[in-house]
Amino acid sequence: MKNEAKKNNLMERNLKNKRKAGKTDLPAVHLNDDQYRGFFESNPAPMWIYDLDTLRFLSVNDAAVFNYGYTKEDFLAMTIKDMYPDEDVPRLEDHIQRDAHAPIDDSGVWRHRSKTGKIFHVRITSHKMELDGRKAKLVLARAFTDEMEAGLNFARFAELSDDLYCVVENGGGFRMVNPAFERSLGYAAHDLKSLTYRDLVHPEDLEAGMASLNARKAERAAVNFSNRLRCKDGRYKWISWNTTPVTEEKVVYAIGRDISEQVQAETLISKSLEREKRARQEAEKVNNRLAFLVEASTALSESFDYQERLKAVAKLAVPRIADWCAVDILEGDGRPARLAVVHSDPRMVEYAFEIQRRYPYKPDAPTGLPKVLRTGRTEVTNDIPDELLVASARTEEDLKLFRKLGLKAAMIVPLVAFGHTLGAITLVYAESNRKFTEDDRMLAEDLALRAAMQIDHARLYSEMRELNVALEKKVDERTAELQAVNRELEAFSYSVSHDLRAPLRHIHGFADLLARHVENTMDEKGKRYLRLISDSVKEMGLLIDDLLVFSRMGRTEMRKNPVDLRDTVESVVNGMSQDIGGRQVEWKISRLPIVDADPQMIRLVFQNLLGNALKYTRPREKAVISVESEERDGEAVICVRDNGVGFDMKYADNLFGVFQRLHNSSDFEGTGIGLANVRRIVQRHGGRTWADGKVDCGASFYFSLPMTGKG
Amino acid sequence: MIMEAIKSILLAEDNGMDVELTLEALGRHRLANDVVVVGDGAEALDYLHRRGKFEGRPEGNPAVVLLDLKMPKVDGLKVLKEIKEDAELRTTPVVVLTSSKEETDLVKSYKLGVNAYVVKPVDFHEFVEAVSKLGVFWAIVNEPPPGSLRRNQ
Repeated sequence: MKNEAKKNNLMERNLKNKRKAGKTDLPAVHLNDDQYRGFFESNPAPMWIYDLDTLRFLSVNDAAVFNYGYTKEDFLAMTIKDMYPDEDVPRLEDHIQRDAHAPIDDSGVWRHRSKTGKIFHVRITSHKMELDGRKAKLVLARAFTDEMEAGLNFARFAELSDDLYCVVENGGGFRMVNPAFERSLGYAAHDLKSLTYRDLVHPEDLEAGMASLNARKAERAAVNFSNRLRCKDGRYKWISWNTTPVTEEKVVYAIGRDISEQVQAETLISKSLEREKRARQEAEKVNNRLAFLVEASTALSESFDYQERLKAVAKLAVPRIADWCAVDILEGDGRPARLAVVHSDPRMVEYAFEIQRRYPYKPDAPTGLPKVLRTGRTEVTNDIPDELLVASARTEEDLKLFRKLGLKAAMIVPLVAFGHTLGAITLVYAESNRKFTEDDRMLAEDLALRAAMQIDHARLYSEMRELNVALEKKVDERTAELQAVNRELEAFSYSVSHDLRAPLRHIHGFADLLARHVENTMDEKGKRYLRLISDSVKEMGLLIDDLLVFSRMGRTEMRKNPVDLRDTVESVVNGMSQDIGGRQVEWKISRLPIVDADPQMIRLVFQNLLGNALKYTRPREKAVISVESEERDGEAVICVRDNGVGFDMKYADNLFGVFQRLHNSSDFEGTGIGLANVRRIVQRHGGRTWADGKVDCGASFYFSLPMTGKG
Repeated sequence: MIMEAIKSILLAEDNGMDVELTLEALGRHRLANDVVVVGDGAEALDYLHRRGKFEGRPEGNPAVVLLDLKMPKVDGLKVLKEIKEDAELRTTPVVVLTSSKEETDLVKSYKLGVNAYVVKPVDFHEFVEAVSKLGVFWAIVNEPPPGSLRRNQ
């Protein structure tokens, strides 16, 4: 640049000097007509002269012939209109009319058609002249070179394209813009003459664009970026640029595509993705709350040691729903005991306990834990101001401690079960931007409800258990007492009956001897008296025997085996054949189950029952005795029925009593211990005894035994 | 040679009335004179071992010992035990004659090797029956172990 300027200045000065010196010698050149004609004829550019009125060719040069393919004769027969493609002729005519009188007309770029039909571009310059008295124009047609053609084509791209084509100078000014600028952004070419690139770019995008450009100035590589350009009407459009700097020319060639729609679409998508993401996050949050509740509930219900469980829940709460969690439970004296304090940092927990030691609980405090415990209502304080800490702290050190604990937001939720407050859960946020929302409150209250119910349950359960234990202890004591009494009784009855036998034997023996001794001398009355003595003794002996059996039944160990009751009954019946003698007895023995029982004892049961049946059917001509069984609720119920003299149900309660009889011994012998034995034995097997009867209509005796599942 | 009456039955019974009744029963089969009565277990053992007040008695074991269980000083089971553990006395038949029907007494007696266990019936007739049978069997019918005192028929 500098050198050029220098050169120019030098030349100017030379010329000036020369002129001063009067040394401008113009070479004298005189050309004759032929020579001038030669200029026309042999001009490398096509030239012709045409009549302005008729538009007919008057003269053409060689170049015209060469370039267009027509001969001179052809030309002279044509008008200039024939040079143009048909579609361009109206424009030509229009132009001629308008500019016919312009002396020099540089009318620009036109399309011409050669004889072969080839279309090419030319630049036309024409001069008004006179030829042979006619108004004519001298035309010089400079054909476009291939490069120029190509350039023209490319220029058309720029013209037609909706993309923004521009050449931007390094300073930012627009050297060239295509019509798309007007179509797309609203700027006509002359609008942009006074504007720079910077004026159009959205302020936020300036940095990015310039940075990319500057970074690549050294290279020729294409730089791609996007930015927003301001349209004439103030709107912004997103443009995606493809730029190439041409460093020597100090310009940047740029093609920009309007991607506003795309951007809009993308924005919509990203917005909807945002919404989705937020929705998902919300759902996750809800899920998390639920998951927390489930975990907390599980933790609460895992055992009845509610203290441990509450501690576990407090641990769960941190840091999911709070930075601090404390659980207080009201003790019997109405004061709360701090069950758990949880923080992710154990040192903080210690500080918390320190505070508690220094600031003991005041039941009538207007806010905080005491209030919650009194009212049974949640208290949420979302912005604990430092002033409050200052006001509450008694010493500077305490204030420091308060601050260390980081009490920014607190929520105290009461544990209420069935209307009474059992304690409270305190949740604290130690970071300034976390606050307790309505959702948090609901979550905490839900948790508190479950916890409170758990505590209540646990307390009830433990009370129940204690009662149970006390009860069982009592039962055990009573059982032991009873067992002891039983043993004493049985031992007593044993020893009594055992020891009573000997004297009995003696009475009997000597009575008999006496009878023999006085046989000849005693009268009937005396003999009768002696007989009565013997009978009484015998009876007493039987009573004692029965008593012994009864006492033994209570004391001996039961040896349980599977016993086929049918076999037992059959065996007992067979053993009774002597007692039956010649009587008519019909035995109806149905299917009987197999039970787990002491064979000897069960045998005794049947001996007694069947013996009784046999005894009390003696007045009947034909005794009918049946033994049936039925399964009821896992028990076998056996029934021994007879058609004997029956009994009055009024006295049924006495039936199974020891030595109780409903008939007198003169009618039916017996000590009345048989059924007592039956009852005792059946009881020891875990069954029950009962009876049914009607005077003179027979009797049914039932007993139940637990089933083993067999038979 | 005049021999002292050979007594083949040793009755160990503390109750006087039971003794009388038993002798009465045995008397029905003329066994009454064959009975030596001792009132407790210690005396029973003295007799069997030929010591104490029985030192000079003729040699030979009784054909049967009728043993009551409930006796003062040394009770029946102890006597039974000693008899069955003594090499010389072991073969002597022992019949427990008692009021007790207790299973434990039964078990213990048999474990000690008792030969028979008879419960004294209350009924006198049955009592007489039982005792006579015992006496007849053991003192007359049964072949006692060698070396036993046996009633000369």
